Amino acid sequence: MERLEKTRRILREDPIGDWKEPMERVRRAILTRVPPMPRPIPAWRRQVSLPLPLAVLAAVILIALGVSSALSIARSNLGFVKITKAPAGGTEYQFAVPVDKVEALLKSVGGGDTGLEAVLTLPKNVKLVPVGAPRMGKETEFSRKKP
Amino acid sequence: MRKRSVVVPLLLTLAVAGAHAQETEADPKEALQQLLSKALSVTISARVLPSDAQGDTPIWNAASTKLTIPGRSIKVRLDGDNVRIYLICTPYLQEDGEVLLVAQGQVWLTQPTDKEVKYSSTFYSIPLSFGEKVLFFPLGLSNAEEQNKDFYNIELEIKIVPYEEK
Repeated sequence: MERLEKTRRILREDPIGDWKEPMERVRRAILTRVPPMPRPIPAWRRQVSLPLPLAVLAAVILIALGVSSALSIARSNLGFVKITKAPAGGTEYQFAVPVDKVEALLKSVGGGDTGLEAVLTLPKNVKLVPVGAPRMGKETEFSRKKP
Repeated sequence: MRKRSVVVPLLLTLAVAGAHAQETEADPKEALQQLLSKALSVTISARVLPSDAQGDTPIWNAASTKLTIPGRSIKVRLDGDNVRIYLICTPYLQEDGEVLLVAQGQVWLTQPTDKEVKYSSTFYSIPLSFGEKVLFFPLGLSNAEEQNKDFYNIELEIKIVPYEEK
């Protein structure tokens, strides 16, 4: 008991040293051993792994979509021309143009310069409906009975 | 120097034009005869026909004959309640004496169910002999399956002959 009291006295009399510096040293030592926390990667820099066939398929689909949408935009903006050979040796030209370019097309083919030669008025009671694409050809090409 | 470069071509142009005018004034009868010898008579007949099941007699027809020269177009317009059709025909003479018909068909159509107007334009170039008939179906040609339906066909017939018989 006396020895214990003696030790306690010694410890009380012993001045407390500067503990902050050793603590800081220990903290730094711990931090150097702990692996650093990974920094968050932005979504556009993240990488994913895909099987090669799937990646090729995705690329093909993307290219096909891109080409078809480009064609569709080009058709709607620029129109298209279809040229076919008629059986009688003639040639048929089909144009599809946006409405705002119809006037320019007509002018370019000389339609705007043509004077109006004749007007025929259809009977009032006849409602005409389209039954197909416009067709033109020699009379012999059409099997339809003539009046 | 600059003035001269403008005046000289101008005088030359006037001289050529004057000479040309004198040339045409010299023999107008001959020029007219030459023009008429190349003139073409274009007849466009329009018909509205019932479907084949109902007979072949047209319920309406009209015709227009116009005189033209090769390279100059003839335009015919058909006006209906819900349709407007333009047919522009330009005949050209070929080296072998045959005719090349360049035709443009334009259709403006309003369907009763639609509020929009549909437009279609088609070009054709057809080599022909004189007197050979060409048919144009601006709204298409009905086929056998559709013959029982109650609708009409509209057809335009084009015939080109020389104005002066040789």
